[in-house]
Amino acid sequence: MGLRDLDPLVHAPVRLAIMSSLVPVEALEFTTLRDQIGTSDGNLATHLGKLEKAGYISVRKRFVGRKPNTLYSLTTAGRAAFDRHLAALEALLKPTRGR
Amino acid sequence: MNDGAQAKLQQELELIKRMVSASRRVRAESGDIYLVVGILLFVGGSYDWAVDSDMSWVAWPICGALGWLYAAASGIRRARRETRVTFGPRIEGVAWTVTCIAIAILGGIYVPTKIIAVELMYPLMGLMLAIPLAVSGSVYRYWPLTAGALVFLLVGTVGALVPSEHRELIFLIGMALGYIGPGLAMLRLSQQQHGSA
Repeated sequence: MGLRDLDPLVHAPVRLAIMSSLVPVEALEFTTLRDQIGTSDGNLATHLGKLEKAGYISVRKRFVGRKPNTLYSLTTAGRAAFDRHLAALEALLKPTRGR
Repeated sequence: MNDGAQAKLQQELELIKRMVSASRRVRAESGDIYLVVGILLFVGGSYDWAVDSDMSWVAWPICGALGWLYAAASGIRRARRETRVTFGPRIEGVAWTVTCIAIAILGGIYVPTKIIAVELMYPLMGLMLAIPLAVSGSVYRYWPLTAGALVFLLVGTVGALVPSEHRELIFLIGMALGYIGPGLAMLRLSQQQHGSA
């Protein structure tokens, strides 16, 4: 495995943080995701848009009281892409571990 | 690959671990359910134990039904405003629902038809309650709930060995230690989390 096995769409730090945050949960709300990652609304929205366009995340809109609320989830394709990316990352780091 | 690239990949792995861990963080929001249901059942059970008349057992299903209504209403209200939808509450909900149905079947069919003696209900309920408590403790990685499961396993074990007249009291002690105790601990954790949020 080489660097080319890393998914460029997942590789970017904010997108990697988004996908890692979504792995152990069913869905996260926009503001929770923003606070957890520590980025701006605009930056987060841009990266979420790219992941959604790639089919890696799905979006669900709802109302909490009268306020609109958006939930993001990993799709099956997104989960598979994350798993592949993580496997490639671990394989690349393996030879250096224990050095 | 040079050392700079390796360090960057290592940072990437650290980022993944940090984010996964942050998403898994326990949000101890259901402490009130454990507390209210626990207190209701404790009050109902104490009434039955103290009064000990032919009809005092009715306090158990009445308090149980009230507790179930509170848990259902509180769960629905929480799910509507939840910002972090995790698999945990669904797994926990199924475990508790099936256990409550099983206990209702035992109390509603097995006891009236005398398949099991009414006194056996307490150790059996203890054993059954240990399962969803252990599931909840494991899902949230929260030791007071796991300790609660151990308490109810003990209730089930001791209850089978002592004379039948002590079984209800042992179950009530188990309810205070294994159910109300974790509920109080969760409430305290929830207050700390909201205070530090």
